[in-house]
Amino acid sequence: MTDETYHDARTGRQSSLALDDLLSLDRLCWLHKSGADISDCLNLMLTKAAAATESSCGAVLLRDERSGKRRVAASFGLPEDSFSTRQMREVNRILALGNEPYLLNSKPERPSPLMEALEKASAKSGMAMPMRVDGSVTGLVVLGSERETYSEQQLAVAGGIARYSALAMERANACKDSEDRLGFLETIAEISSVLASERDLNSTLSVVVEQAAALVNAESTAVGLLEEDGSVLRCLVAHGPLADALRGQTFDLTEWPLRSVFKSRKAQALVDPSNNPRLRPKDVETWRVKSALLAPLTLKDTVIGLLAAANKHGGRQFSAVDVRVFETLANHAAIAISNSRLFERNQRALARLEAERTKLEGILENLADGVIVCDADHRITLVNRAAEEIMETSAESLLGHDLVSLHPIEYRKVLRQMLHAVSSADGAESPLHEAKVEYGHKIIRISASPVVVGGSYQGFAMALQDVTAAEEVGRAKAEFVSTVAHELKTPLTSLKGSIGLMLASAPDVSDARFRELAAIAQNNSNRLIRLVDDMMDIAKIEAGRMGLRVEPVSLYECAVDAVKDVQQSAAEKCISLTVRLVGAPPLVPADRDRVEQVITNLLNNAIRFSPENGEVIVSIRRIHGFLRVSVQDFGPGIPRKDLKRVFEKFYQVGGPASRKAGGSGLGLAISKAIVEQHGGKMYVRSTLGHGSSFVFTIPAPAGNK
Amino acid sequence: MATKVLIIEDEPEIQAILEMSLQQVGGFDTVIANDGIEGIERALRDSPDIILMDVLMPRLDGYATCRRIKEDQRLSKIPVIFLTARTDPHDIERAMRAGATGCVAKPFDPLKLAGQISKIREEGDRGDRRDLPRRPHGTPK
Repeated sequence: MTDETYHDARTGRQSSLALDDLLSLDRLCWLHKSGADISDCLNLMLTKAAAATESSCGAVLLRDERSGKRRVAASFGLPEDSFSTRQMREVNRILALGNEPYLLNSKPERPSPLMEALEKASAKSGMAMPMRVDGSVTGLVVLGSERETYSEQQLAVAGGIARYSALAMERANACKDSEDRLGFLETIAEISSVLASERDLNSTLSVVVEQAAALVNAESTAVGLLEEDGSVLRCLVAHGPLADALRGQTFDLTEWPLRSVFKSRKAQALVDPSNNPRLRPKDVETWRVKSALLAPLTLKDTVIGLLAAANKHGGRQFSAVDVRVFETLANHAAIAISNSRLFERNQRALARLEAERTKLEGILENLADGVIVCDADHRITLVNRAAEEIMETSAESLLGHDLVSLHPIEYRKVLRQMLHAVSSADGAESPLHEAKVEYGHKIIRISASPVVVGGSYQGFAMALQDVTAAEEVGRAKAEFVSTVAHELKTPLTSLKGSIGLMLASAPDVSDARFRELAAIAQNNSNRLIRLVDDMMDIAKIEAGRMGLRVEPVSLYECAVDAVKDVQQSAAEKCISLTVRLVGAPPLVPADRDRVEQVITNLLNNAIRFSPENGEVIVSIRRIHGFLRVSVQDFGPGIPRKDLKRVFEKFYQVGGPASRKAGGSGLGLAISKAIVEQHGGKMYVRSTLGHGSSFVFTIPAPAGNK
Repeated sequence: MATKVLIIEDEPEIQAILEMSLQQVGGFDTVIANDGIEGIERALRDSPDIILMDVLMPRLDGYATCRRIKEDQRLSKIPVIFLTARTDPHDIERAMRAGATGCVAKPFDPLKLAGQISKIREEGDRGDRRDLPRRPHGTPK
């Protein structure tokens, strides 16, 4: 630091402001920066200036930040009421016009009100030194002396002190402002960090109100959020003496002051709000505070709530800086609240998912059927308890392993085929695929269906059902049926053979009655044989044990053979039988005998219900991957009420009387089951008075010729 | 010389009908055995042209009897036709695996039996065994 040098024109001597004086002024700067009261700093400056200029009284007049008016910031040797309006006017005039220090009593023709004030303290001379920095004047230093006049040197020293003080205070203020800003940023960063670490909404709101109170030095703070419909603000968390009164309160957004804050979306400071004429009388109690600060919580242009601070009577008013600070905090709080809400929503969703998962796991664990879920590479990702029991191993030894390789070698091929079908199934095919495998002594039916997420194949889910007992029952039933059939067929064989031989070996018997009776016996033994065969077929179908010997079959040849079989009964009623082939249908994979059995059944029915001299037409054509066979008659047709039931076991159109026609009531049920076992469908169309068409389809895979 | 048919059947009534049917209608010679064991003995002794055999019989059932016949070089070339009430594909396959040339379903038509036997024998001679119908000859439709 260097000394400042002044030239005294009157004495011709150079005078310098002592180094310790300047150090003292620097101390002034330091003190002010450190937050000391500005009056103390100015008093120190005034003392130094008085000592340097042999002054007996003086004052520093500054502009008040809040009111904008001049005020006495420091004084010595002067009565309190020394500066009235007149003096202040002069101060304003000096500051407006003059930038240089000057002597107050230099122009006796124009008496100075400031000199008058100094004279009251026995001063005979006075001087005024503007506190000037970079062309702007921040205040005025006035000094009075009991001596007749100040020297130019004293004027220069005082002016220097005033100027240096102004500069020091400006620096201190700038420094203090920077530190305040830095402090504010640090506080906001700290709050943001605390808010970011809070997950729970209530904790976040508690932090917001506590930090808000500290930041703007408010007695009470509160935060409210808009209800779902957006019409009401509900105070959720509050802090300070007003907390109990505010917590849980709702506020109407259409009324002052909320309406104004929500509309402007700006923070506002309210001075004595309870006296504001816009306040509704019923709300006076609520707003009976000295000052209030309201900041909207805004998120992407949407107001989600309000942050409020209030001081009761006697408390401080909030400044413009407070408004800005509060608004900044509100912006951070809005983001934190939004994050907390999102977090809570996610937590709730996770909890719901977890509950669903627990529920599903419970269901899976308690399922009697085993469940195994695999990824697209056949690796097991989920196993339930029943599956562990069926596979006779633990989940740990199954998870992550290839499903196919866990099975006995003889089943791997069929499993791979099934899983290939599952993974390549499109919407047109059934997504459920089945196979039967044996694990030790158990027979397990495996059903697999694809797991498709968002249209993408993720793997498959497999249900494992222990069908050992059912298979045993099926086997026993089939054995029983077979035995009964054998036992029935042995006497039937004797009966049929005897009657046949009797008729054949007695061609000369002229007794017509004998021949008639023998024919009746023969017909009824044949009927009994058909009934036993039908019953056996039904039993096999119901036990799921009707085997098919699948080979490439011409349905046309089947139809021709079936027509030959029924030719005799058709001839008895003079019914013509026609087989029509549309196009060149391919061979289809089918059990030839069973398909012929179906066509024979349908032909027998058609003949039975056709009038004499009627016609029955068998048509075969290819339609959309199937061969379609229809057997059409021109009989009386089937009433609508019977149409749905014609495929039921023992159901006879027209009631039991129609059994006289020789049907067992099982033929259509058996035929439908045979067709369905081939992967086809059977249905009937009929018009009363015009006849019926029984239609069935058999899959005809592309490529068959 | 008439074709000689060995009938292996445990039911006397069916034995009688088969004899009558084959002799009177078909003009065959017949030999009767009451079970599988006796059947093999009669086959060795009488050298039949065809064996017509029931499935369910005491002492030795039709499948076992057929296997023994097919394993015996002296008898293996004699066509064996099963006469069975069991017409499942499974039963027929079992008969074929045992070495049968074909099957005739019970109850049979005594007037058509001889014709069916002749047809099966011809098919067997032609080596058509793998093309034998699933359902035995004579199965009612």
